[in-house]
Amino acid sequence: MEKNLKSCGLLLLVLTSGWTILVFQFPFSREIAVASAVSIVILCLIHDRYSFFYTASVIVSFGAYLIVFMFRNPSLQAWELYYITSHLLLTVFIVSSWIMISYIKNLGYETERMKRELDNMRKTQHGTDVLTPAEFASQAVYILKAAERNRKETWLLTIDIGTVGKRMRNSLLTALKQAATETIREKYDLVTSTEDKIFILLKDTDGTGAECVLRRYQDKMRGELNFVNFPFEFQKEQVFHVQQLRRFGEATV
Amino acid sequence: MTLLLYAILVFFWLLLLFYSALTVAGLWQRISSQAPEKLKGDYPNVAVLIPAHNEGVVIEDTLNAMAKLRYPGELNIYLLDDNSKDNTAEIAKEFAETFSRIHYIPVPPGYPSGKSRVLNYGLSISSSKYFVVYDADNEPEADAVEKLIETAEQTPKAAGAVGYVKTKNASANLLTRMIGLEFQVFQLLMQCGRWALFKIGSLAGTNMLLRRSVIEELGGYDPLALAEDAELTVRLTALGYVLPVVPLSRTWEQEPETMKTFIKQRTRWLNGNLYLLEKSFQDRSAWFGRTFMLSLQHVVTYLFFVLLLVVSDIFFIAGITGIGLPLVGAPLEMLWFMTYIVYVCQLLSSLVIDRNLTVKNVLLVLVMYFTYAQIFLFLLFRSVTMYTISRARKKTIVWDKTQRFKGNVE
Amino acid sequence: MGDNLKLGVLLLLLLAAGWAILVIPLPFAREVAFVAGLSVLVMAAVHERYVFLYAMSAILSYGAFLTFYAFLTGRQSVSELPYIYSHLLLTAFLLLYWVLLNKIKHIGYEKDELKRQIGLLQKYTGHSELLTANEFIEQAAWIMKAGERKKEQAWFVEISLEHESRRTRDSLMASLERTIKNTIRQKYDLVTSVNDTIYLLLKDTDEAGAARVVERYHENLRTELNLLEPPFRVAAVQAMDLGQLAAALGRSS
Repeated sequence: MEKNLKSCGLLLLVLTSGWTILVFQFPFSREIAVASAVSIVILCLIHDRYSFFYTASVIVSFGAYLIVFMFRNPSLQAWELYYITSHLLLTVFIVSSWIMISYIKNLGYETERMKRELDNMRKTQHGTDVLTPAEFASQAVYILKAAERNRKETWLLTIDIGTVGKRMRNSLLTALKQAATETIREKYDLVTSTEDKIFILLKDTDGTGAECVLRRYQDKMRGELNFVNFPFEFQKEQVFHVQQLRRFGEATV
Repeated sequence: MTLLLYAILVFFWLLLLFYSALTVAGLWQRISSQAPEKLKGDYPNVAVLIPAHNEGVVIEDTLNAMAKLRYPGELNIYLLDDNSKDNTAEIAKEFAETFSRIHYIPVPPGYPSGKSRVLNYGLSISSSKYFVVYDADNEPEADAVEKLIETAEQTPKAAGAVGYVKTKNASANLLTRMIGLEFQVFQLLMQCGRWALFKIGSLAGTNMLLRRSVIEELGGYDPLALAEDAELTVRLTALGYVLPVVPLSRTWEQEPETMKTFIKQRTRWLNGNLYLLEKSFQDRSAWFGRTFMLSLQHVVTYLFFVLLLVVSDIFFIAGITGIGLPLVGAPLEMLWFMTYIVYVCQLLSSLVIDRNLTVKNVLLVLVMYFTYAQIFLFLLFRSVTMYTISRARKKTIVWDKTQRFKGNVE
Repeated sequence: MGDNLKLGVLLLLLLAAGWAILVIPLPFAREVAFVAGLSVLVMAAVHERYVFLYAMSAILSYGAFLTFYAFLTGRQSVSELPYIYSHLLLTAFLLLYWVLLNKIKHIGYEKDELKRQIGLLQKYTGHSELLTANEFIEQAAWIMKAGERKKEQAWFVEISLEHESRRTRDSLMASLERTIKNTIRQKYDLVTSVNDTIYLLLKDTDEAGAARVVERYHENLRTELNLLEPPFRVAAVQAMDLGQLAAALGRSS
């Protein structure tokens, strides 16, 4: 609540200084009003890293202009305080706008960053037991390390549905993912998927074992689908080192 | 009289523009600088020297932070106890008994008292390629030393490197908050800005790394210097060494929480700088080569700028109260106002670059010119008086210990 | 950027509405200005669920008042228009402010929720880079399952800090955590730290293997610490099920 009060306090300051500019007839009030309105739009549009430069430039430029103006109009020097007040009003308006907009923007940037971080951290894909590629990569490192120590083999199965029509692809992918999670050994082997591929990492097995899992998987699919010959490709390869899985995420780099 | 006023105004504005240039250069330096790269080979050994005198209030937190320092090479931490009468020794010994890289070193009494003598002793009982100094109230971040070393090793002609100092008790009260802001803007202008424009850095009294061979070449710290960091900077610069700034290497230190303690501390610093100023007037070599900028800056900051601040204050008060001013054909109030605006912009820049732009800090920035900045007029007057009297009586000004505080740490 | 622009436009409209309230000589302009200013503070301070209620109450109340006033003073339809404009202005102001406030608060709430979710999914603790307790339990589930299949043992080791000095406790614990990371088998064994206890799950090992790890830990600590006796107590048991681990860490499995 404290943060909300602060941002609303700032908003009040922006509104008050804005209204003061509009209502009271200080020197250059019309020009300042236009500059203020334009500044709000610019501050909203530009990235936050340039906001301060813009704000400081406006403040200093207007100040420099007033100094030159006063040098050229010595008769107005008796009214210096009014010109200073004009400058102060613009400064208060633009600085409070800058802080408020900056705060809101940074909240937004932070939220976007956290959403990306959360996506990377999610272990399973939405509504399924299939791992996200990042989690797949992370767990694969442990599996490969264990395989290295114990001199066991690790095999990667790839099911590529890229050739299937776009209309059906989504539903087909869901069915294939479901079948994959039912085929593998729970909390032992790993499954992940991309837009058009499913990957299964088989732990502590050999070529024959991998072939066995593949056939089991295909039998399961035959129970679900009407295909005689599957319109997608099946591949199996032995995984020797982590770099082979680089495409899945940073954990394997 | 009119000509004099014009001269003052022009000079004042030139100075202001110079500081504005430093601000922009500092901002550019901070935006464009990247984290130092990891060293490919072994990391050199480092000795951390912590001079301490009656630091019982803060030393536990300091040593906890030191114990957590991450450094890939050999690191030894020496707590140099300068005859403390409180429980500094007890606390330090407890840490030394637990951690193999923390050592408690009692410093034999001697003359003159002060940090320089204690550091010289610390250098004499340690051996390492580099040493880094921390004040006894400092809590460096775990990678602070690592980052200093990486920069020093990868910068040609670097005597060492200087990190940033942050205020850990900034939220204690208004004074500490303003001190924190002052440190921020000083580091932006005087460290990053000067490095960007002139490749000049200056040692802070803490979070500073130096090569042992360099300090040996210089003959150690000057035991009479109250501002031993500034004094060493001039000598280093004269020998052609550089001191790169490392904003990512950060230590958190406690600042005075009462006005009395603050005045004592800053008087000591100013006395130290006056000593340096006197030295630079006596030693012509301080005005040649790279030390020219440093010496010029000292004179300008501690003599001219403060005098001009007084003049601008007089004009401002005269303008507000309507007292008649000499006819100079210049909009004096407007000019004064713009100096205030430029000063505020410098402070705001430091808030932006250090990412602590808050409403509270902005409000403080707006009033600092009228409050905090004006204290320096009094401080300079006090320091000049004390210094002049001590020189007249041929007495050495002794080290004045800064009081420590507990609680209200960020 | 689109959102930022909307924000800017809302702000400008709000400024315009407020300016109009102040400048245009409509009936009850001063009172409306006062209510508008007060509303800015009230709507910022109250909880989100009451903000719209407040806005509606203010709008309807003012409308009711104007209707009553019109009856009392016997206004003709033509001369009622200024009262309608006055009401419209206040309504526009309050609704614009409500929308703006909503946008700002919503971003804040979204960020808090994301932070909470990230906290749950965090794998490593900030300072020590050991696994979080949650991640330790999750990964332990996989290890236990694998151990069950392959009939291999896993050993659960608790290292509890026993050190009298309150002063050095914190740094000592940090030192212990740092050292344990370099003692266990990387990407193979698991380690976490809760309160002043470090928990290990050693995979594919036996009692003798667990003892060897503890011995290696003692050796590594000798270069860090000056203490003659190790400042901790060790308890090692064979890990039989996940519930045992979760209970030790004070979590549900």
